Amino acid sequence: MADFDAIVIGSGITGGWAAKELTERGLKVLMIERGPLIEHQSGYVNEMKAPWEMPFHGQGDANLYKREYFIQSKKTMFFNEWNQQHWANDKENPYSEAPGTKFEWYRGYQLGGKSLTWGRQCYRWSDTDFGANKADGHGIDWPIRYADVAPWYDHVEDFIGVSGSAEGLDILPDGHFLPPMELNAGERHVKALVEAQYPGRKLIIGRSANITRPVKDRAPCQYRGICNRGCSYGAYFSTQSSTLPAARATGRLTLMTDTVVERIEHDPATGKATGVRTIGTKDRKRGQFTARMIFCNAGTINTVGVLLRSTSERFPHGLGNSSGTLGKYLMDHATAMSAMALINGVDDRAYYGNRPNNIIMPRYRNIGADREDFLRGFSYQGGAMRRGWKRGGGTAGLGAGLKDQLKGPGGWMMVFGAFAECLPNAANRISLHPTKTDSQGLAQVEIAFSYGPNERAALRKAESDAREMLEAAGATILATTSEPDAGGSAIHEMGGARMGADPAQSVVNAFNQCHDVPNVFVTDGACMSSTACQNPSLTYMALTARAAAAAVSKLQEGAV
Amino acid sequence: GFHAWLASGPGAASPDFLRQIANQVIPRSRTPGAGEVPEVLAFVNRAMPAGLYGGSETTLGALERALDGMVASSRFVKATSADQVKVLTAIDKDAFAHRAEAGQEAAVHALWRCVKEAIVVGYYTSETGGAHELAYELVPGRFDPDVPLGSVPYLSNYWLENVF
Repeated sequence: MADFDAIVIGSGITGGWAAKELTERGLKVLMIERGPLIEHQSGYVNEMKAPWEMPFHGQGDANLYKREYFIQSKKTMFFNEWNQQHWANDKENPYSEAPGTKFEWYRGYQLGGKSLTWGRQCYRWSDTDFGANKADGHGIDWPIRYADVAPWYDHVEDFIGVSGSAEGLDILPDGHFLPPMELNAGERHVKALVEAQYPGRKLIIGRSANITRPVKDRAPCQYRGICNRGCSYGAYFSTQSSTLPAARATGRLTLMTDTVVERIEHDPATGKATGVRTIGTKDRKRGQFTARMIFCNAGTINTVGVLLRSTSERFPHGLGNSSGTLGKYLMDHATAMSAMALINGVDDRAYYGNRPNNIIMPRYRNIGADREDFLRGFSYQGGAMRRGWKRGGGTAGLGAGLKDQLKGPGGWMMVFGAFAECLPNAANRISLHPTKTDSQGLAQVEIAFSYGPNERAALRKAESDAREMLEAAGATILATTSEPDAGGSAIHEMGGARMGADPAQSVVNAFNQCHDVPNVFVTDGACMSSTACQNPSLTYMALTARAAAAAVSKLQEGAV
Repeated sequence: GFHAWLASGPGAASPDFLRQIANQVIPRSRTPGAGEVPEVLAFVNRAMPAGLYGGSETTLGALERALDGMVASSRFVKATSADQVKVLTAIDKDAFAHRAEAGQEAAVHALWRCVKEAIVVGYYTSETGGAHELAYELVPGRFDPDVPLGSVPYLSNYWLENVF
């Protein structure tokens, strides 16, 4: 008799969903999180603090960040003194980069994982996206299409709450939306001028898991713009605000924090996984738990790490790796700040409140009649805002004149950042370092990653398009670039245990079930076979819910 | 230890130095000047050794030494306010007029940019600057997307607007 019906490894966006769906379907579930417990509301220690109540006024100890958060602190738009405890300590959690390659790995090692700090953008994938690998032959065909996932997108959106506008675009299917947030004056100005001159391009508000109406007991967004500290209103989707309470309400969830999964155990006689071995991250205690099935939701790279560590006579190169593809085809959207400009003509307009949402321009390249010299596409995210008092520290001026000038907002700025689709490439891979270990004594993951000519060509087009559109909107260009940020910068790492119909070429099947080990499911970003050019988290959630439903029926049929 | 010694030893800034330059950057109006607000001074004194804006334990002392060499009395803190303004205005203008190649510009310009940024940030993230000079509203409760300038309070806590 197993200890649990299911073990869920990880408590982030997909771990929370797996726990909710499996417990609600009657299973007794153990969810294991490597980081500390952070409870909703009471655990958000800096949420309500003003800058002057923080030791460094919210700016943080730069030398500490250089020593211990040298990767995480690069995300200056998101990482700060209020929320630094929601990011992994880089010094204490080392990983390796393959020689000559670079990958910035952003992590949240706590209950809720990156669901506490994510960008909250929620996009459905279209048939163009699920069909992309088949269409141009890069990667393997997804064994699923939009119709397979659509009801699960509905299911997820209805539960978490997604605000957004219905636009009727084939490339970015509409969902079940709460009322959209609004574009500010600068964005309205640019939208009107760009859409009038470029038919087929749409500048719209982001579809965001910030709710604009109450969802169950969660209150709507208060426009504080401090989501990453944790939100006691529950106004954005996180494990804490949403899936964890649902899973706990069933009475069937056991939650274990400060515990890392060393490996999944496999019984060659039955061909199934039997449970996991664990190490306490604080007390170093070793443990072992058995279950009838395992859901891997540790985050793309850590999920692959667990599977690679789970070697046995039957699987000498990692659990479920008879295809030899485990760890390969790691991807991340190629990002660049395509253009930044001053908006002219709206200096008499202002806004009030911190809207925790951006604008997007959905993909318009390589669809319809448009054909480019690169494959697939890119989308933009960005927004307009008026510069704040910080400008006073970076420009000439002092005395009464400076103080007077800073009493009001500065000029309007607009940024267009590009997310380009990343082609699957076997050389971009996660492996285990032969000698280096992490703080638990486990082999460090080594990441080999670089962008290729296609991503670079897409970003060049994104740069020239962004420049052209902003100039057409009468803006003054300040800077443009097509140089991709380091891999990992989008924090959309995907792949490593890709989905496919052929067991010889993929790790999981159309229901995220390991071809080799029927009671192991991979439903986080590791399962992705392509990246599209929009944010992937909503798709992870939909695939997780879909896989959980399939897993429970298979379990009931005795098929796992 | 060593860091405390650096910040308070022979190369340290005079007790009045930071207070004086903070008031020159952000003077008293209907609200106090930056140099009158203890939490602004405390912030700058913590920010420099913590490496913010490229500062270090020696930044304030080095800036004072450099400014001493630019006033007739050789003691910046003893100069008249008018003389201080004259010196600082010239440095400020040059420091932001052109960014010379690293290592090519006068050291005083880099020191000035660092300390000035810390004073501005310290002031508008203090209760005096953030909540009295400007408005601070943790819970706006609504988003007005497009209103006439001046028709709504201007918040010091526009977070994203003050990252860069």
